[in-house]
Amino acid sequence: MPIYDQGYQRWKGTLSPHPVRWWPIVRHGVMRHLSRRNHLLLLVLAWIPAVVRGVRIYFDSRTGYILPGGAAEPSYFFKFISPQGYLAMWEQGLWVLVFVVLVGTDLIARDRRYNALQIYFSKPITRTDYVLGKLGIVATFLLLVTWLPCLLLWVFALFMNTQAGYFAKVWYVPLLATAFCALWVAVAGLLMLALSAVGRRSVFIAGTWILVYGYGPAHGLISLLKMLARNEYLGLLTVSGNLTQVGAWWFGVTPPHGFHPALSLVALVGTAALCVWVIRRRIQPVEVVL
Amino acid sequence: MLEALGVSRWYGQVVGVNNVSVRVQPGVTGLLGLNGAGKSTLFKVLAGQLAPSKGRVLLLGQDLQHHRGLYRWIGFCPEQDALYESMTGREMLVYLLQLHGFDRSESGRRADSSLLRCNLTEAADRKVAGYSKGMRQKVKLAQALAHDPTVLFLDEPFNGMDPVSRHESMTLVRQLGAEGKTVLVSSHILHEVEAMTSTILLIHNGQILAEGNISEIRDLIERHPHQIRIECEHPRELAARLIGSDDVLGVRVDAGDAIVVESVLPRRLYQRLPRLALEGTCRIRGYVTLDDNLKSLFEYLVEEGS
Repeated sequence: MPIYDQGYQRWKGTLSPHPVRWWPIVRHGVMRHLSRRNHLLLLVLAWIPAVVRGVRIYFDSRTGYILPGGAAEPSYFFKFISPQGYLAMWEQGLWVLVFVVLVGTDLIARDRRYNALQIYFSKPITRTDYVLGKLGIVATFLLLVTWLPCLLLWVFALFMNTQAGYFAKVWYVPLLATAFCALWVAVAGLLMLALSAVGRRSVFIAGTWILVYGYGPAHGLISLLKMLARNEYLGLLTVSGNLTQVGAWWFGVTPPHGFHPALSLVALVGTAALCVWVIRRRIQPVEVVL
Repeated sequence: MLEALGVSRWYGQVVGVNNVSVRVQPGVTGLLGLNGAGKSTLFKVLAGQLAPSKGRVLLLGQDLQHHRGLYRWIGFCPEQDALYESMTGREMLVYLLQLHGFDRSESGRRADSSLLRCNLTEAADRKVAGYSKGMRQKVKLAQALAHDPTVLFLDEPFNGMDPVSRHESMTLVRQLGAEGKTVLVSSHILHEVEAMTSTILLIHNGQILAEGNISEIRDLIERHPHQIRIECEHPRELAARLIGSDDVLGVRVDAGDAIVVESVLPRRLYQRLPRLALEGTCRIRGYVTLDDNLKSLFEYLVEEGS
């Protein structure tokens, strides 16, 4: 058969509308990670804290009273998804660290390594579509380990708790959790994307993210500096510290730093804006080196 | 179809492309230029990969920089490797087709069709990491064709291909041109472009030096004095026999039993050479034209222009 007989026919179907053009990027990225057995295993492990809390809620409801730290207050749900809860295995902050590093480091760096950006931008997608797609991959995993288990815990607690007035106390938790997780995902994800757009080596990207985000030693250092300098505003220096401050404010918990949480919110918005600026500067179909 | 209006692109103080206005019509057009001539810059500006510093690029009458939807009609095959090593050729094409908005089944169908057209069906389910250089070129070509674009940009598409693949791909490019697609192929090899099209754009120092039919350029080459190096057994004897002919401007003896002849009528000289070899005692071992290449053509055109 001559080659020209294999020519194309015009597509009679409908193309996906432009506003969802980022969706194939999300789907492809998520499926790529889910196809790896160790990533799936980590995802299962990330749900253990939620299961443990569920069991506790069940026993609390069977004994008829709420133990200290039980699911009576909105703060209970905030502790579960606290960004600085990485020291305790039963809090989700640790799993956010694990999944951001695992999923996010190579998202843009890999495309830059493989020169794939010029292929992406020869398609009818914009830089916004591309960034939304990449952010969507991180967001999917972060929401799977924060927002979704938190929401299911709330449903379970509501279902198990028959005390009068319980619903009135916690009805707004899903709204708070949604808003807080969206902020968390946006800032943590954009920070990772910005670093991935700047660096090429995964170790450098992961290390810098952990430092700026304020995990582990970075958080310890800030705490020490805060104590030595007796300056509460040093708490503004880490992303996780600001997130905790804002989360505590929204969930009605005493904020960890001695300044108004609105300042932290401004710092987070500023960080996100800076990341967007870096991403826009760095993501070009053709890298121009002067 | 594709039009550049006063396009310039500079990188800091370096001018890549300088005030280029050109119109590319349906069919195959070769973009020829020496390394560093601004060929890649112009190519990327025309393909919408780089924004022009000045001027506009119109595709189907609309400004490419302001209508992202126009990219639906563009197929781009980059010069560099731009492939995900961990994916199979088919997976990669399906993914890229989905970015165009095709659903999964249509993407699969189109990917298969395109891989077949590029003669890559057998390797379609192998990881790209295991592909040879020629196969990588083919998969890049396949992704550029898969969504049935109207305008195709092929940046040095035959680099690294073996002769058979090269021939197949050139045939494919000719067919695409015959189907009415606008195909812009960049290359620095004149005969490669000549095998696909007679329409060329010559770029030099960031400016379009000449555009039009390749035969006109050939005529220019013909009028330009040619240097032909002839290897033979008795070079001085052959030189003496050539001097005085109306098709020879000069002769000099070269190292390694050879002479270099300067001729304004090279075709006539080529016709005479077998007779000379038969008549005399100086056996001719071979000959090569020293300046029938792109560089000498550019030098000549620049000279003419100045």
